[in-house]
Parts: sequence; C-alpha cells; structure tokens
Amino acid sequence: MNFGAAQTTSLLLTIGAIKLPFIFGLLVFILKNHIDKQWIYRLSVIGAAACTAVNALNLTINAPYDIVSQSYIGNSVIKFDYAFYTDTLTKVVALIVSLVGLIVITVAGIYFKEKSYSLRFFSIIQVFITGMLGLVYSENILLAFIFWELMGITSFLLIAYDTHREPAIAAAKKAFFYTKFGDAFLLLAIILLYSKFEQHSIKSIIQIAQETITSPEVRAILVISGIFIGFAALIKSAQGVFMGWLLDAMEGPAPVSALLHAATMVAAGVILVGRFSPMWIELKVIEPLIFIAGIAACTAILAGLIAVYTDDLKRLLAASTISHLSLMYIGLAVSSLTGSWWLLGAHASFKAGLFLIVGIITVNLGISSLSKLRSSSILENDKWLIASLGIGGLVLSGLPIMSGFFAKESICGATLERIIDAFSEKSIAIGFEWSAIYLLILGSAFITAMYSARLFKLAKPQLLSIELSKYKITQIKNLPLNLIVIGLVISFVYALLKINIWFPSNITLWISFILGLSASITGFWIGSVLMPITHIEPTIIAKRYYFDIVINKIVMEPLYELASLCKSFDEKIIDRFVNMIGNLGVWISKQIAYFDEKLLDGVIRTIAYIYGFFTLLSNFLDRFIIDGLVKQFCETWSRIYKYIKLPQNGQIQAYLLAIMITVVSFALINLPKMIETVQKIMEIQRKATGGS
Amino acid sequence: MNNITPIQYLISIVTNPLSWIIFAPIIIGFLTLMLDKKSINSHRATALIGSIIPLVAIIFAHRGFTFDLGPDPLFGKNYYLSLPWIDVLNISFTIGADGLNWPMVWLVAIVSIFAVIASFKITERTKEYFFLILLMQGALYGVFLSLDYFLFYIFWELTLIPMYFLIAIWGGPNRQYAALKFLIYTLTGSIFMLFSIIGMYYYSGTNSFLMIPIAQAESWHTVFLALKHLIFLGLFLGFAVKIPMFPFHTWLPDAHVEAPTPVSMILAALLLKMGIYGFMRSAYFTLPDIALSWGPFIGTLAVIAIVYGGLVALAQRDFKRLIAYSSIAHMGFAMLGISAMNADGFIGATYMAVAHGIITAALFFMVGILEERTKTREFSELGGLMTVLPNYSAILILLSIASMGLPGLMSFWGEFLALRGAFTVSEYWSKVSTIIGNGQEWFTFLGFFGILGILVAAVYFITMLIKVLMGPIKERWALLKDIKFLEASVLIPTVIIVVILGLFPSPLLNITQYSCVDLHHSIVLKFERAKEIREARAAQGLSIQK
Repeated sequence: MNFGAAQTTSLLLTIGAIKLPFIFGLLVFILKNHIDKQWIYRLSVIGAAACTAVNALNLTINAPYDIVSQSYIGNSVIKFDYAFYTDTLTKVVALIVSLVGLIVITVAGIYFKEKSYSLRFFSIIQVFITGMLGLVYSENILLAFIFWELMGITSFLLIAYDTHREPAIAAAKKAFFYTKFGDAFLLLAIILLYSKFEQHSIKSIIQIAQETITSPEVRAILVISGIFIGFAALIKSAQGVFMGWLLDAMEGPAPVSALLHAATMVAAGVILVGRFSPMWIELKVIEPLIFIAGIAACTAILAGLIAVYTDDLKRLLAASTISHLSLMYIGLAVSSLTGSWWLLGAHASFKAGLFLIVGIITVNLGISSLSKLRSSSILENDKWLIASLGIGGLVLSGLPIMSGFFAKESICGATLERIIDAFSEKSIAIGFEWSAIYLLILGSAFITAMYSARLFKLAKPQLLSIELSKYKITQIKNLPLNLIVIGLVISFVYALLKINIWFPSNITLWISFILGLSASITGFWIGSVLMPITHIEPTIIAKRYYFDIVINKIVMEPLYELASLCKSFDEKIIDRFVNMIGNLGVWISKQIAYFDEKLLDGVIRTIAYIYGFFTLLSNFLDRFIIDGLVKQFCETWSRIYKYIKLPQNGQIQAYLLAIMITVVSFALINLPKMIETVQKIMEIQRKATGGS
Repeated sequence: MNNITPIQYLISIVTNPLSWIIFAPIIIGFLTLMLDKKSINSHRATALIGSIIPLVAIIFAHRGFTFDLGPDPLFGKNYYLSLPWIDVLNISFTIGADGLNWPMVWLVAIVSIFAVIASFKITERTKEYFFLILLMQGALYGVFLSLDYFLFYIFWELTLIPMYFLIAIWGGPNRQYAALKFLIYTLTGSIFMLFSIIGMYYYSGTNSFLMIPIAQAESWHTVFLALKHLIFLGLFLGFAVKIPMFPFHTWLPDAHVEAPTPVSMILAALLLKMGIYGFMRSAYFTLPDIALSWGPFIGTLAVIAIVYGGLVALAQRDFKRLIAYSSIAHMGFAMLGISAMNADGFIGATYMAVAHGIITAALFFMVGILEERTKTREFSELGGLMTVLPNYSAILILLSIASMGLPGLMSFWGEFLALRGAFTVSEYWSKVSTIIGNGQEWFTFLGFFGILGILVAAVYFITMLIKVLMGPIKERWALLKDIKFLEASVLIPTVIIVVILGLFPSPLLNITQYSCVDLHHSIVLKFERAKEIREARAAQGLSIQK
C-alpha cells in the first residue's frame, strides 16, 4: 500500500465510520413501519456492528499523516472542510464509542422487549452515535460544532423518548437548554478564533498561534476563546453548577443513560478540550487550564458527595460519571493526556456496563433504591450479574490494578509535577492553585473509593438475603452481560499490559502514587466497613446544592417573564402605536372630510342656495311681474280693441263719418297752432313790406 | 439604441430566458382567467405549469452563467438585457442576474411551486386565486431581476396588490384589518422609496434609472451630505418596512396569521426577501458612506429584532404567530450581516434569506397541515402528537431545529456568516463613533447579543416542540391522519434541500460569494476614492491659502 492509498483508505474509512450509523438510522426510520420489529432491531445491531468493524479496520491502517481532509467539498469563504484526525488515539476513542454504541443497541432490544415502544429510538440512537463519532474524528472546529450540536438535539429526543412522561420531558428540556447555553460560548470561541487567525482548522489555528504568540492580542484571544471552549465543554460534561442536567437525564430509558454516560455526549467536552489543551500547555496559556481544572476539581468533590449519600442506584452512577469526568478534565489541564484518554476509555467500558446492569435491575424490579435492593434477592442466582456488578464496583473505585487506578495515578502524578514546576518557576500563586487542585483530587479519590464500596457491597453474595425472589429475570440473556464482562476484562488486561507506562519512574511520582493509593484504600475501607449501606441524605445534597433552583430563578424564570413583557410591549405599545397612527390617519381624514363636507361644501351650497333664491326671485318676477305686466297690457289692449272694433261695420257712410270726424278733430286740435302759424306768417310778411 | 425596430425589440425579449422567467407566470395567469370557472383542476394545472416554466427557464439559464463577474459587472453577461422603454423619461427595460439576485430567483421558483401545490387545498374562487398567485410570482421575479429603478419600483408595487386581495378574500376572520394594515404600511414605505429613487435619478448625474451606473456614479462624492442622508432614509424606510425591521414589524404577525397557508408561505419566504435584496442592491451599493455612518444604528435595530423577536415568539400561545415572530428574528440576522458591510456579512445575509425562505415556508405549511386537521393553532389545545403523527413530528422537529440554526442544517450558515461578519468588521468602522467605543467594538458587542438570540431561538423552538409534540395527549386527537402524499411532495423536497445545503453549502455559496465579495470591494473602493478626493481638496485648499 503506497503513501497516497493509505491516506485515501483512511479517509474513506473515517467518513464511512461516521456515515454508517447515520445511514442505518435513516434506513430504520424509513423502514420502521414496513418491516418486522425484530428486523428493525437486527438492522440496528448490524449497523452498529458494521460501524465498529469499520472503526477497528481504520485502527489497523497506518496513515502517514495525522489529518485527512476532503477539502474540495469545502468552501473558500467559510473555510469549512471535511477534515479528520486519523491518529491512533482518535481511532481508539472512536472504536470505544462505536463499541459502546453496539453494546447499548444490543441491550436496548432486550430492555424494550416487553414495553410497547416506538422504533424511532433505534434511528435516533444511530444518529446520536454519528454525532459522537463525528466529533471524535473532526479536525475542523466548525465540522466538530455540527456534530456537537447534533448530539445535543438527539440527546434531547432520546431523554424525552417517552414523550408523555412529564419528568422525562422536563429533564430533556433541561439537558438541552443547559448544553445549548454552553454551545453559544463554543460558537463565540469559534468566531473569536476566526477573527484573529482566519481559520477553522484546529491544526492551522495551533500553527498560527505558535508563530504569533508573542503578540499580546493573540494571547488575549487564546485566553478568552480558551475559557469559552472550556466553559462549553464543562457544561456539556455537566460540571460545576450545571451538573443538574446529567442527574436528571436518568429519567430517560436506561440504554440512553448508558450511552450518555459512557463514551458519548459527556465525553464530548473532554475530547474538545483535549484538542486544544496541548496548545495551551505548550504556549503557556495557563488561564483556561486553571479555569477548567479548578471547576472540575470542585465538581469532583461535590458530585462525589452526592454519590456517597444518595440512596438511588442510578443517581449514584450519574454522580460518579460527573466526578470521573472532572478527573479527565484535570488530566487534560495538567498535560496528562494519556491519563485522561485512558480514563475516558476505561470509564466508558465500566460505566456502560454498570448502567446496563442497573437498567436491567430497575426495569425488572421497578426499584433503584439501594436499601430496597439490598433486601431483595434478585442478585443471588445470577452469577454474571453479581460478577459484573462486583467488578464494576472495584474498577470504579480506582483501587490498584484496575484500569481506573492507573489513570488516576497518572493524573495525580502530573498534577504534582505541575506544582513543582510552578514553584520552581517562582509563580507562587499558580503553584498554590495547583496544590489546591491536587488536594481536591486526593479528596475525590477518597470519596470515589467510598461510594464504589457501596456498590461492591451490594454485589457481595453473603450480604444478600436468601429469600426466594418472586421476580423472574427472564430477559437477562447472557449475551449482553457477557459483552459487558468481556469489555471490563479487556480493559483490565490492557491495563496490565501497559503497566510500564503508568509505573512510577521518579520520586515525585512515587510520592503521588503512595498518596493516591492510600486515599483510595482508606476510602474503600471506610465505605465497605464503617459506612452503612444507606444513611440519611443531607438536604443540601438532596437538593443538589440548590444549583438548579438558582439557575431556574436567575435565568429561566426571568427569561420567560421578559418574553411575556416583550409580548405585551409588542402588542400594547408598538402595535398600539402603529394602530394609533393608523387611527390618527383615519381621524385626520375624517376631519378633512368634515371640513370638506361642512365648510367647502357649505360655502358652495350657500352659494347655490343664494343662487336658488335668486332663481326663485327671478321666477317670481318673471311670472308675476314681467309676465303679468305683459299680460295686463295685452288684455287691456284686447279690451280696447273690442271697442275700437265696434265702429267697423263695413258701411261706407260710417267710414266717411269717421274720416270726417278725424279731419274735423284734427282741424280742431291743430286750429290754434294753425292760427298761430298764420299769424306768424302774416307778421313776417308785414315786416317785410312795412320795413321796406 | 433608439433605432431598434419593434420586431428586433420583440425578438430580444422572447429569446432572453430572464424575460421568460418574469413574463411566463403573468401571461399564464391571464390565461387562467379564460378558463371555465368550475373546473378547479384545470386552474390548478395551469398554475403549476405557470410556476414550473420559470423554473425550467432558470435551470436553462443557470448553465450559461458566470458568477465571478469581476470589477465590470453584468453588462453583456448572464443574459443581461437592456431595451429602451419610455425614452422621454429615460426609463429602460433592463434585467440581469448576478450572485445577489440569482439565489433569490431560485428561491422564488422553488417556493412558488411549493405554494401552488399547497394551494391545491383551496376550493373557493380558485380561478381568481391562482391568477393572483401567478401575478404575484411574475412581480417577484421582476423585483429581483430588474436592474432599472423604475422597473424595480413598478414590480415592487405590483406585488402589493395581489397580496392584498389574497389576504382580504381568502384570509381568516380578521382578514380585512390585516390586509389593509399590510397594504398601507408597505405602501407608505415604498412611497419614501420612490422619493429616493427620483432623488438618485437627479443627483447621480447619470440621467438614467439604471441601478449599477447610478451606484457607480462619480458625482456621489460631490453631492451635498444631507441630501444623501435623505435619500438613504427613504430607501431605508422602504426596505425596513418590508423586511420588517424592529419598530416596523407589527404588520407581519397580523398578515401571517390571517393569510391562508400558501399565502403565508409566499409572504414569509419571498416578500420579506425583497427588503434584504433591496438593501444590498440599492442602499448599501449606492451610498456606502451613509450606510457606514448609519451602521451602528441599523446593526442595533437588527440585534434588537433578533433578541426581541425571539422573546416575543417565546411568549406566544399561537403556533402561527410564533413562526411569524421567528421570521422577524431571522431577518434580524440577515440585517446584522448586511450592516456589518463585509463579504462575510453579505454572503450570510443572502444565505440567511434563502434558508429562511425555504424553512419558514415549510414551517407555515406544517402549521397549515395541523390547523386543517385540528381546527386550532393554540398550544393549550395541542400536545402529545408525536405518537399519533410520527412522520409529521419528524419533519417538524427537523424544520424547527433547522430554523433555530442548528449547524449542519441550512439556516446555520446564514447566522454563522452574519455573526462572523459582525465580529470581523473592517477597519473603516474604527472611525465611526458610537455610544460605547468605536464601530468595531460596537459590532463585537452586537455580535454577543446576536449569539444570545440563537439561544433564545433554541428556547422557543424547543418549547414549541414540547407543547405540540410532547406531553399528555388529548383523546380527540387520537385519530388524526399523518402526512398525505400531496403534503409530502412539498415537505420531502424541502427537507432534502435543507439537509443537503446544510451539509454542503458550497453550491449556493459559489453562486453568491463572488458578487458579495465584489460588493464589498466596490464599497472599499468608494471609501478610498472619497479619501483621495478629500485629500485632493485639502491640498487644493492649502495651495489657495498659499
């Protein structure tokens, strides 16, 4: 196999491993109503097995580079490439993830056998595994973010799998909201890193950071983005005040819990921080490391105390997950990478096993209380169950030669080295910070051993009462339990093989080794001998340190209140204002209409009235005065005419008489004038004759 | 240009696929009017044909396109067509496509077909209904493809009238109020826009209504500043009402709630994008200096829309109103990207516009499906439907998480690029002063709040999913029917688009990125040219003083 071919094969196998569960999930979703239930189950198992096989195959290929990418699919603007890590560590973690997935899916079939259930579980869980595998492999932080969020939403659907149960829904909601809060910080960190380095590829970011670390601005960006990444990861792993979501997530079905608590979801944060922590350590960007380690160390103690006091078996395991995750974070922060990854793998194997066992117990008995379980006799006949519970308890405790032990020792040793380094570099404050963290680790080792002893005690046959069980655990076939025990044994044997790596090599490590060992042993001794299996849980621990209540009070409730405030602002003020303007427009138009109707139109109407008055007047004048006059005149004349007509009788004498009368009357009328005229003429003649 | 014969004129229109895209739906819409009133199936078939022809034309045209247009955009490329229309007023019929409008054209084509299929459920007055839908489509294509301001304005107004009737005739109980509110609100905005268009015509000195020459006009450097502010204000009002931006948004929930499902789809998916496109093509392209000084203000309004819209959505009790308010929040992301004025922001805004179009149209359709079956949209009435309607639930979950911006699905790239744009604004912003610090710091601040908006989106979508799909189920919903073939024919393609473009964003980015980079580049060039002119003037002033 040549250089390029190994690279290509590695790329294909990686993409195949990520895609396979997704494809099977889709297949299950499409086929779930069309084929038999049993076949759906088989199909899921085949999918998970195929994925595991591909991951195992990928492990055998020795690719020359640590990163493979399919950059031609990516985009030059977004800088979004399908790039993957293909180093051995990544491949091992991926194998563990797919193996846990396979076991969980196999057991889920049994778990769900007697329940009426929807087959969508099998499709969602496959997509969930895709999310985790993708996160493990991705080299591009944007690509990792896709898988990170994919896990967030699928975990919501898985926890709320029983969609009619209120507590499950509330738990799912809480899990989603809490982790989404962290995701926002991760997105912020991605964008901040881009704003400085213009890259989304983790390797390129680290490379550029190494070259430009001297600039204080780059350092500031690294610190801020580091704290944001740490914050996102810590929330995803239910650390600090956000531990509530993981404890509540136990409301989901047992296989889901097993999957969430083992190598997936909660481990996602560890993997993400694990990608960046070598850079922080190398460049001495100490703030994110202290931040992460500090919170994780406190969480380890707080969660451990919950596990010590709780009566609920499931909650004990959940709290122990949180405290183990804290240890992984501390390991990353103190550059004990191998310790962290080792603990991740070991924890995945024994926690998945323990959860499935507890799941089987609770499903069949309906109880998960430690005190009640102790008095029942379920465990007595099943050797496998007893054995695996016992081994699980021992591995959990971190006692010598168990896989958990080496991881813990290695982390303790590395922390001690950090303390010595810090003091030798004369950075006293940091030295004290690491010392505090170291003490907290020792404390948590002690507490871990204490609660593990409670589990171990449950498995001790002589402690179980012998009364006959009325419960039949017919579902517990040997197959899944065999798988669990085999998984535990493999991790155990692997630990033995690699013992030389963990074995103390110098005086510092020897001191740490002895301190850690004595803490564990004392804890286990106190837990198994001195402590009763059940005892009263202090209120503060039962309420989980009031973290959830406080978060609810300061975040969720104000958010809903703000939302309703905004709604009423929107409806009562903005919308009302808009409507007011609209109404103002209507009012103005009404005023204009009034003006138009009453004033402008009034004037014109008045004019029209006046005009009408005049018309009437002229009509009156016309009809009664002018017309009347004319009529009167005509009438008068016609009357006169009658009299005038009288003399017209057609006789000649009458006419002659008339002429005579006329002539005479004319003469009579004109006589004075004629006389006058004659006199004047005569006078003129006289003057004319006499004067001459 | 003027001695073109009518035959040549006609030929150049008919042979251009872009004019087919615009006119085919309108012509077929008028053909619908001639059909028999009672044969509903023929109306449906015609409407479907009328929506598919543009898609065919788009696919045909797409093959010959180049999107890396370079510094001299468009002229003579990508079926650019410029014909004289009203010579006296210098109005031309100019259409063309580049990376800014071509994604929108694709969006119109896809969503129109979905809306027509969704409209098959409408049974009354189908002839008029499909006529209006087709007219609307043609007008939308016209808005996005026209490169002449006058043509743009005509098509812009033409979208209003069909929308008014579609809401007022086929709408819900309070339809008259909603339709009138929509009409008056948007009409008021567009009148201001008209003023600005006329202003740009006169002051650009190009003596034409062509968008690109106006934007590239040298005379903008000498125009009186207050005038430029006024022109920008007019454009801002026109587009902001349409998007809608924060204080102008109240028409949207009312219009959405009252409109019938397919009309809501068109309204949310396409009409809001006119504002986004308008900002990029017109306001920010032409007057970037004014946009820079308004930037913190516009960015703040955008972020208020993101957070505030999300919070109001969270408090809703009505399924459809929730989706309507989520649209306001999503448009806020697009606007934040635009106001950041860099390539990332512009690309993000375009991507957001397309993603929101596809996803929200489908979400409105989902609401319609549920309302048709249950006759209610109140959350208090719904609940526990996941076991009854498994396929419906799966699609609703996928669309909701896509809409809330889950990475790997379509909407994320829009939000992500817009936010990245806000965080990486160019150095020009450092000269802009705001309440706290300079523009760069202000935008970082806005970016933080934008990310808060993503959180709020997650909260209200998950709350919605829980209220609708989970919890105890009511007895009367036990016999509800899951998704039918007709509904699946809309939803399945949507889901495929959302997932494919979410995992492989490159096809869409390759269309849009060059134009957005060019837009950013032209803005930078303008700033540099303005600086040169300022320096030259200063030098002149000094020499005069000497």
